Amino acid sequence: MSKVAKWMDRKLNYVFTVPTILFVLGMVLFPIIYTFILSFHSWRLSANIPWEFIGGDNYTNLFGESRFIDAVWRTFLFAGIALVIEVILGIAIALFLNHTFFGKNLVKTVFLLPMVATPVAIGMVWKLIYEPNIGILNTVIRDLGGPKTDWLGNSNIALYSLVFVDIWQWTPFVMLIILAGLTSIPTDPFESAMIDGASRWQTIRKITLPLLRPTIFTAVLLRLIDVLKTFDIIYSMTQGGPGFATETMNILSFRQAFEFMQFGQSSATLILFFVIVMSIAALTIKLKSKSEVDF
Amino acid sequence: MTKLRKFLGGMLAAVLAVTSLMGCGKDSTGSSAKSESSGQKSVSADSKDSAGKSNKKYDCTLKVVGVDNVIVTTALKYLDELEEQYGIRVDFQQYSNEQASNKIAVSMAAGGSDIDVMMIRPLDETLLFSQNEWLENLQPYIDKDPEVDYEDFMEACREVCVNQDGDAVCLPAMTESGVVYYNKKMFAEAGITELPKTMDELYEVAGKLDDPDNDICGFACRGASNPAVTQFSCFLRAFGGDFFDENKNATLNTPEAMRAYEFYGKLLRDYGPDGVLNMTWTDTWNLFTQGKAAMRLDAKTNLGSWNEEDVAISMDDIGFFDIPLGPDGDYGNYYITPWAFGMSYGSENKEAAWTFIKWATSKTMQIEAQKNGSSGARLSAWQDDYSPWPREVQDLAAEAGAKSFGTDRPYMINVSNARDIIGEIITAAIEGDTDLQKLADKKNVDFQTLLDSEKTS
Repeated sequence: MSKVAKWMDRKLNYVFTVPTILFVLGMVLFPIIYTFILSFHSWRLSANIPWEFIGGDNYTNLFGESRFIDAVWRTFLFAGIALVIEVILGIAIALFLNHTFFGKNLVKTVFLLPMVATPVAIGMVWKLIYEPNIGILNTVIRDLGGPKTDWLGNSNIALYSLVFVDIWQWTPFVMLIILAGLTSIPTDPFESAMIDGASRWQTIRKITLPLLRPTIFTAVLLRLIDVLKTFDIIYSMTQGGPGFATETMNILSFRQAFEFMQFGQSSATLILFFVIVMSIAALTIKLKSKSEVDF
Repeated sequence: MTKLRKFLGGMLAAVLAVTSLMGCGKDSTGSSAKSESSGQKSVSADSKDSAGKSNKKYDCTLKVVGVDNVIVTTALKYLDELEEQYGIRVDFQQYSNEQASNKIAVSMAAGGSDIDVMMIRPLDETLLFSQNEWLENLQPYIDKDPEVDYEDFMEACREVCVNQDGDAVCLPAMTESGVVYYNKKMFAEAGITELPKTMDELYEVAGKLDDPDNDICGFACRGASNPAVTQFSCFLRAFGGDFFDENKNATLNTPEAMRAYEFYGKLLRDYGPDGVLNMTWTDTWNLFTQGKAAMRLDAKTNLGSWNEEDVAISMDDIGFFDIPLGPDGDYGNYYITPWAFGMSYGSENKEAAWTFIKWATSKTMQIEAQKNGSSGARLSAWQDDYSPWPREVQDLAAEAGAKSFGTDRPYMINVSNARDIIGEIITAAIEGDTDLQKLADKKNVDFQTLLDSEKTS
């Protein structure tokens, strides 16, 4: 055995983990630190002009701007509505699919289709569906005698139209996690409940859901992080419009950077966004650890 | 270990081989490269001198970032000539407008050496890119090269292609002005014989043509807030307003501006297409060419997008008239320079890049583009009847040139930010906001802050 091989054998734990640690440091930590430092500077993406240190101006500018406050509110509104509905629907569909019936696998596959499609392509398709004149949605509503609705062009409903697309696309993801959770639940409590004469609804409420709680929290956590940073669907469908009606923090920071060339300002937005997402994620994890039950 | 060394050796050789085929070294033999990737078309001129023994002036491949328009399609047809004459091969990367801007921004941050020539939108980018020092000063090249005939470029075009010191940083490639397209058949069916000459008449005619039962709108124009600013400028100025005065004082909330917002909002709210608040020029173009809009206001150069296979009306059905006058007889049309060629400050082939820019904006190329439906930035492109446009459009363009505004948006460094501010008022106007004055007052303050930040920068 050569010297190198012997050394590698001795330090195997480092050999396997160090590359990963270096990769994570390089690809995750470095951009975060870079963005954090940039958020205290003014920079217009010019290699010729050095960064100008401006202290906390980028942050104070943000809090003085109604556009930013509105974007924060919209981000939460979008995420909140989408998450609640996705989780409720996801659990319901998973419970439905947890039974044996003819064509179950086909139904399961169909449910999963939206999740595997490309978000930008989904955005383009839904833009056509929502089109006020020739879109299929309005055509159906009109045939049923309903009013013509401007789904993406009306500031009051555009955000909700986007929420619907997110729900359509990501409910299957929640469903998939819950289905996996259902298969790992022990059968004993159900048998006891059956012997005790519990109704179907009682079984779901008192046994299935409590046992599923850790799984539900996992689904909530994963979806929460993802839904908060939704960008592709919004950008491909409305680009934040009409006006700023669908402008979330992600869309705002993108525009600050690549349209207004305010990279410092954009970094400040992203750092605040990062802090918000991390805080909510930490809170969710804390709640999850308290939620586990045993029968 | 031997296997690993062999593998690494092989990889290194492959990398060196690929590297030697790239770039624009003076001694490079440079073979052709054609690539296509999502969202981007790349076209290269084939090298005819594979041995590399060239006696041409340059022997290199220029990287050009641009968009897909009539200027580019014309230039691409003649790239072989460019290589024949100067030994310049071109790797032309075509993007959408926004993608091109993003690509340029990212490349410039990395030193700008992976772009030699870029197509820029002077009204949005000349001042911004100059401030960022992304554009090479072209004045020394122009001064020592009489061949370029700089005076042949229209004065209004030259004015928006110079930096704060008055030095040229790009050469104009195209001009553009607004016009109202109308559907002759619909006009005839509605018994309209007189074309609208005033804004009030425009509103009245739009009302007669509006037919919601058949999904036909009377008047289509941009409603998406940021893009709408340029076409709204026609109304703003026709009503006697502007974005700011000569001292850079914001004038977004003047009585004239308020009348313009209210008129534009009412026109599109009452007779505009459904979903107008998300519409840009492509949406209104599609509506009009599908026979779903009786009138449409936008740039004349949109005619370059005419495709017989995609439309539901014929070219003979389309009529044109100039932007109607405002209540006090003011004329609000624009005559702008939408595209120009500039040189990257980081280019390692500056002489070749200058030769390309000079060639792409030369009289010959401008005339060729004119024949393909462009609207030339050189006076010589208009000296003869080169354009395939309908005669009335050409006449309107010639007429508009003399009396129009040289800008259709606030000409400043932070244009996009400014357009967002103005666009918010336009959106509110279309939605029928009852307290438009309050919003305009607030936005005027924001706009003034932006203008002031540029005075001190």
